[in-house]
Amino acid sequence: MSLTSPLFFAFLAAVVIAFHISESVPYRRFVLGAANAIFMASYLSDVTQVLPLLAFLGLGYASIYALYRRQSPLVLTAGVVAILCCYVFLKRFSFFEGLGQLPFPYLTIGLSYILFRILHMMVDVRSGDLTERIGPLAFFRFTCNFLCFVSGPIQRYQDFSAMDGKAAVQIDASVVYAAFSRIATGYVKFVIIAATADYAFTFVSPHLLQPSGYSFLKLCAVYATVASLYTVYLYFNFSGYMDIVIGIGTLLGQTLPENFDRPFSARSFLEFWQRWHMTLSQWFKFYLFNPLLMVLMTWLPTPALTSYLGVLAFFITFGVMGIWHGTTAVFVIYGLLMGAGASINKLWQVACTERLGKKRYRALTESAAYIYSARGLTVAYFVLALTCLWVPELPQFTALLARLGIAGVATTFVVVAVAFGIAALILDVVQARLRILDLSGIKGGVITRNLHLAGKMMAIVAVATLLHKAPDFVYKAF
Amino acid sequence: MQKTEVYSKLTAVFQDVFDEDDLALTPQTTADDVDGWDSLSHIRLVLAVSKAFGVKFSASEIGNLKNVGEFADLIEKKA
Repeated sequence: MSLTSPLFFAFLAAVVIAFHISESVPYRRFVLGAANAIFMASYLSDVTQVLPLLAFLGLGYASIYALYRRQSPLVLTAGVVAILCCYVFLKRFSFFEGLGQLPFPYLTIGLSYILFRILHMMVDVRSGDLTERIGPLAFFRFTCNFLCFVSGPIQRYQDFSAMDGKAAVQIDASVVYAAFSRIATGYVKFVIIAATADYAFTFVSPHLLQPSGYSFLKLCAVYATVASLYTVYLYFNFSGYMDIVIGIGTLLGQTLPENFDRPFSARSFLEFWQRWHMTLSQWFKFYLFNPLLMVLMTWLPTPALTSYLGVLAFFITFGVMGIWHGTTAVFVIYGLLMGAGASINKLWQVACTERLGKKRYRALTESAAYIYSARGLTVAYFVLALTCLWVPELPQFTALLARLGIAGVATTFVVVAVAFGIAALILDVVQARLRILDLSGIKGGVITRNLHLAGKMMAIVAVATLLHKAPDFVYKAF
Repeated sequence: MQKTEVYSKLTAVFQDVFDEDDLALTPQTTADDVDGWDSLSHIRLVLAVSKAFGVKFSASEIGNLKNVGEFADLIEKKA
């Protein structure tokens, strides 16, 4: 069920109305469970297509149940290995083609995020963080919550359980207005900005990927344009999707976690990952990076080795995150590039602190020249590393790199970094000037507020008619 | 274990891990207030605290700590 389809809107209206008919918690849980089942069924043309997913859920539930009975490391290890093997088999990773595959098409949408939810429950049950007994229906409502089914956000069961059918958000006129406004903002990002960027990306990218007689500088300019367009498309598509589901969540009494916090304002690559796809990066930090680093530091307790152990943990964590994103070798490269970015950033911080001292280094990072240089470098690195997502096949990826060469990649990197750094500086200056003008009286007025909302809806209709294209959600593929 | 005892012992651990003899802790102290308290040194700190107080922390406890006050409350509960 596409988020931009009339069917989704009808489905959503029916779920919201049904949810608010009664305040009974069991009734509301029934409505949410039924909504999840209907949402999943919309992706099926045959009932057999859902069987592998149901088997995966069954295995996850059995593993959690076994951990309730015996909270031993052995049971946890056996459960994690079984779940991961099942996941790798069902996702048809190209590295494991020899394992064979099921002889019929089946549903894989949502599988990646269900994996995170199941693993989190298993680890938390084992550690004693999750003591509540989870029934099979609550397990289904959590793992297959239709708002988070396609691509998160990744909630913790403890947070979900506190709101499950209980209308944790008290609905009144201003809350409903804010929810619809957020949904409209999401569609503006999704249908206007991301779709336009995708339109331009689809138009320009073939010129880059096919042999042409471009001069060196033109080739770099085209690469910088294509890579930037894809980043704009990815961010607005994904963050627009999040605005939509978080807004709908409010109407259903749920507070879903945020996934983005102005990532392009990050002053370092490490900070960027605290602001981009936050629930995913936090999951990896909690359940892979931190435990891995603890093991490494227990084995090698010398403080002088901290940074090097951190580098190793960054490479492993981002490597696994890269493999999770896709099933080809290019996604491993993506993970390694992200690991390299985080490692370079950490080693730079350590080297600067040692050379300048903590106070002088902190003063340096507060200077305007440093801030905008760091913002430019951070975004440029991320923009170019994302090439792995839009050229996911290894032969095409290596062909592109061969055409650009080291000089081409380096030149494009500098161009994007300088362009973004200058753009960010100009934007900040303009925003600071605008803040001096007190527009709160106009912006907060009832007419202006509603006019703004109506304007968003009008713009959506106008641009959607112009583009003749219903955009799909990019992260659904991961 | 009394809260004052927790803070006294915790301050000594912080001073040792971050190599700052004059480091003073309050419940509101966060990673932003202590030079060098980042995601890597946080893990070294957790290991040192675990050893000093003889307690263990779960993955979500380690990840969800917001300030020294929460850390001290958690230790007080476990020790």
